[in-house]
Amino acid sequence: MFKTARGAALFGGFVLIALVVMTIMSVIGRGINAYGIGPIPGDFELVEYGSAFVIFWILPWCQINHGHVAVDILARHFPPWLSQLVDILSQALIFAMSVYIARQLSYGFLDMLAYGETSFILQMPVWWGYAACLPGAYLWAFTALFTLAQSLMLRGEDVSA
Amino acid sequence: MSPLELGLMAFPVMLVLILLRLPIMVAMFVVGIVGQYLVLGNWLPIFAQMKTLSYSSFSSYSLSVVPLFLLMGQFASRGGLSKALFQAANTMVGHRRGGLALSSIVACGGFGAICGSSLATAATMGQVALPELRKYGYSDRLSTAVLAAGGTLGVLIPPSVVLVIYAILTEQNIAKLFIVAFVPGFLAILGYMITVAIMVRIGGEKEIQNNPATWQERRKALAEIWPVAAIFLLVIGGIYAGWFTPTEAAAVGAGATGLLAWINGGLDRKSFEDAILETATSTAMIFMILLGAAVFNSFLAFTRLPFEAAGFVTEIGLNPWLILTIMLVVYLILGCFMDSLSMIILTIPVFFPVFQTLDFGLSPEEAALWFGVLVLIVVEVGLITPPVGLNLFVINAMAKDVALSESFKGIIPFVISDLIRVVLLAVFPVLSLWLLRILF
Repeated sequence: MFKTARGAALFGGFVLIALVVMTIMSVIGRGINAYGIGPIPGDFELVEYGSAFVIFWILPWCQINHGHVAVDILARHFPPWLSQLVDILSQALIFAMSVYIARQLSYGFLDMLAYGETSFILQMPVWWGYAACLPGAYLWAFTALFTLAQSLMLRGEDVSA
Repeated sequence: MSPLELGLMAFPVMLVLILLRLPIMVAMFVVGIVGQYLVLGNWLPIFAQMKTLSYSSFSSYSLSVVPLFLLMGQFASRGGLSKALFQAANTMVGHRRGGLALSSIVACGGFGAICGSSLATAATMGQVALPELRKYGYSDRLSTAVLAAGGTLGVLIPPSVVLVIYAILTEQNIAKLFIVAFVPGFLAILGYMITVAIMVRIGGEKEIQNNPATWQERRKALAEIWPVAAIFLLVIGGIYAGWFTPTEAAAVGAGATGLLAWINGGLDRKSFEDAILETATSTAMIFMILLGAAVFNSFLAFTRLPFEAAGFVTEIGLNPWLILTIMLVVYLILGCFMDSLSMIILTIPVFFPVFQTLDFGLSPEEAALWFGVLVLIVVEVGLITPPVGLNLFVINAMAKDVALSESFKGIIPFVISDLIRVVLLAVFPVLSLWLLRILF
C-alpha cells in the first residue's frame, strides 16, 4: 500500500516536472517568437489539466503519511481512549469524504462524457481530465480505508508509537 | 434557525472539531456539507456540486503556482545554497558581536528570496547554522530561537506561498503584493538583527568572536551566491516586468533551482525523489484545505454571513483602526495553535469583505495589498509563538539536548520585534506602499 501510494505520488511529481519543462519551453518560445518558434499553444490549459492530475495522484501519499494538518494543543492532554476515538473518527470521516469525492467525480466524468465539453484552445475533451484523475481519487479512497483499518487495529495500543 | 444563525453557529462548532484534533480540512468539509444541508433542506444540490467542485478546485491555473513554489523551495533546500549563503553572510557581519547569529538572520533572509516556505527555510538553514552557533559558544536559548525566527523570513520575503494564497483568495495582483511585501521583509531582517544585537549584550552571551574577513574573502564569498540573486531577480523581476505569469515564474524558478541543485551535486536520484515526495505531501495538504474551504465557503455564501457581517460593521460605525486591531489580534490568538495557511483560508472569506468596508484613506487596491502584508506578518508570528510554534519544533528537534522551554524563552524578544514591526507598518501604510507607488 505504502509503495503504491509512493509510486502514484512520484508519478504525479513527474507530471509536475513535465509541466515545469513545458512551461519553461513555452516561455522561451514566446520570448523568441520568430522563425516558427513560439509559445506552446494552449499551455494554460495543459497546466490546468495537469495540475488537477497531479493533485489527485498525490492524495494517497499524503493520506498514508497522515499529512493532513490538525491542531493538537488540547489533544496532547487527552486520555488515550479519547485520542484513539478521535483518531478513528477522523480516519472514518476522511474515508467517507474520499469515497464521496471519488464517486461524485465519477458522475462528473460521465456528465462531461455526455456533454462533450472541450477546452477552449486545444479542443481537448474535458472528460479526459476527469478520467485521468479518477484512478488517483479511488486510490486515495482505498488508502483512506487502509489508514482507517490501521487506526482500528491500534485500539488498546499507544497511538503515538 | 435562520441561515444567518447557522452561519454564526458554524464557527464555534468547527473550532471545537478542530480542537478535538480532527484534521482542519475534514472539519471545514463536514461542517460545510452539513451546514448546506441545514440551509437547503435537500441533499441533491450538494451532491451535484461535488461532481465538479473537486476537479474545478484543483485544475486552477492560478493555484498551480503553489506546488511549483513548493518544489522550488525543496530544490533550494537540497542545492547546497544554504552553506554558501551562511558563509557569505558571515564574511560581512560575522566579526560583530553576535556575528554568527546575525549571519544566520541574513542567510535566512537570502534563502527566503528563493524559498517561499517558512518550515523549509528554518529546517535548511538550521542544519547549516545550528552546529556552528553551538560550536562558537552561543547559548542554547539564542541559537535555537534565532533560527526559528529566521525561518519566518522564508515567507516574509517574496516569493511566499502564504502571499500567493492570499492574493488568489482576495483576487489581488501577485506581483504587486510581492513588491508591497518587500520592504516589510527587509525591515524584518533589520528588526531581527537589532534583536540579536540587544540579546547578546544584555543576555550575557559568551560567544567566540571572529576576526573581520578581508575584502578579498568577502568578494569571493559573495561570488558564490550569485545564482541565488540571479534566480530571485529572474522570478520576481520577471513577474514585475510582465515576462511571465506567476505560474510561469514559479516554473522557471523551480527549473532553475533544480538545475542549480543538480550542478552543485545536491540532487541525486534519491534526494530528487525526496524533493518530489515532500512537495507532494505539502501540496496535497494545502489543496485539501482549499477544497474543504470551498465547501465551507459555499455554505457561508448561502447563509449570507460575509455580506451581513460587512453590512453590520458599516452600520455600527466602529473606528476602522479598532476593527483592524481586532482582526490582527484574532490572527495572533489563532496563530498560537493553527498553521498560517489554514488560518488565512479559514478567515479571509469573512474578514476580507469586512475589511473592504473600512476606510483608511487608501485606494481599495492599496488597502487590500497593505492588509495582506499585515496579515502575513501576524500569521507568521504564530509559527514562533508557544505552545505550537512549528518553527521552534523543527529547530528544537535538531538540538535534542535543548529543552523546549529554553527555545520558548529565547523567542520572546523576536516576537516583540515582530509586534513592533506590525504596529509600525499598520500606523504608516506608506512604509509598505512607497515602493509600489514608485514602480507602478
